[in-house]
Amino acid sequence: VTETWLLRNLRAVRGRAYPRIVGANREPSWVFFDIVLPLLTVAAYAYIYKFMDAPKEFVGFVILGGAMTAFWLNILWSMASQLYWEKETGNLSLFMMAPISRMSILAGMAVGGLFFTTLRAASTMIIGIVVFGITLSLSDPLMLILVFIVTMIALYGMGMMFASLYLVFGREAYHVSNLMTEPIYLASGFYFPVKALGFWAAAGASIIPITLGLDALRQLFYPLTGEQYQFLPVTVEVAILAVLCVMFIGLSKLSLDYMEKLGKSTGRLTLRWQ
Amino acid sequence: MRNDLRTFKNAAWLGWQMEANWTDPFLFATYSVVKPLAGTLILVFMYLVITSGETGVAFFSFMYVGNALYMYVAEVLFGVTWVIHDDREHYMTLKQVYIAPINFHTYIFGRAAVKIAITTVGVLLTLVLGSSYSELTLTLAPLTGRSCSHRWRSASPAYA
Repeated sequence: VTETWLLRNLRAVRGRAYPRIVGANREPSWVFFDIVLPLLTVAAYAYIYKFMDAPKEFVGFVILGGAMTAFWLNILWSMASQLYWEKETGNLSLFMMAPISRMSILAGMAVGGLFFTTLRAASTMIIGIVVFGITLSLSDPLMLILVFIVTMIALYGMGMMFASLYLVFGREAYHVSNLMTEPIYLASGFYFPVKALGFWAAAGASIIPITLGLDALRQLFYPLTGEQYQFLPVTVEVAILAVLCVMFIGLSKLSLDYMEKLGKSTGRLTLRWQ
Repeated sequence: MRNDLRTFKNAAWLGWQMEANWTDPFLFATYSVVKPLAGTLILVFMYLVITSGETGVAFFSFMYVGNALYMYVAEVLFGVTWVIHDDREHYMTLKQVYIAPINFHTYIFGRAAVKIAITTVGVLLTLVLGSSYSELTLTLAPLTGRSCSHRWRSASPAYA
């Protein structure tokens, strides 16, 4: 049977996504900790807001931000760092030899990661909603779904780009990931409206898709807060996120090509302990 | 005693290299400073959003100092307690270290000392930042045994 290039790469996407989906649920205790531990961090922030008599929606902001941290951590540790770890464990040379596009490997990682992270983030959010008794508006569910989808495509596009760049960083990758945890929580306004940082700081942080995605989701879940906490109108944020989708996926292809070219010229692409 | 000091020194040096992952010291230093500061600033911004900038109240001081000192808790839980586990599972060197003619506890102490030192830098920087850019003030009376007259504004902050 002659299979087309497209079919072969779609099978590669499925094949790379499969171990992530199955592996993520193999150890039940991990599922429990993945869901409950983020909730404890969120609870600490929520109680600070409660202690300060903050408006009720702030607890909702924190729950939403806490659930979204799962996606950012997945980008850093399961997307960006992944090719570096594949190199360390010896899989990267197999990926490079396989008769498929390298982009389909990255896409498979993204699809698998997105699937299991969405389950965990949704669980964290549902438990948070129940425990803290918050109410969310679902007045515009279609826009809500659209915002979530464009945010995730842009975010995982960014992760695909980082995956190649981290391979170039080598050992520094570990520190880069650590460096982009708390500082990004701060810059992207995971636990407070990003508008509080000021317009230009928030505009700069918008290069990280989750900044605009979170702001838009908060506006949709809490439409009555109006312009008080919004950074930009939802439609503008969706348009920028759509641009980021195209930009990051394009850049991920470019960085992958650059990484391959660098690997060929230096002969160190699959060399471990660099 | 001399043997223990040498063990401590070498364990601390090894710990530093492992913490830095044998990478660019500048990047590691940046990470060591930026990470705790960012974690603290999240709380500060949460506070500022609600209170519109009033940082001269006790609650802010308690929250700020508590968060700064919590870094030690996190370091003990996720750093020091992982020394043996890391050596056994990740680097697979525990056996060699254990049978070496050194005091094993001194070795662990040296490894832990570096982690605590790095955390201490983060804590101190956080407290200095708090004193420089907010209304935190430090009362040294519990340390000096004198009355509450020593209040440092810029050099050593803390906390009414």
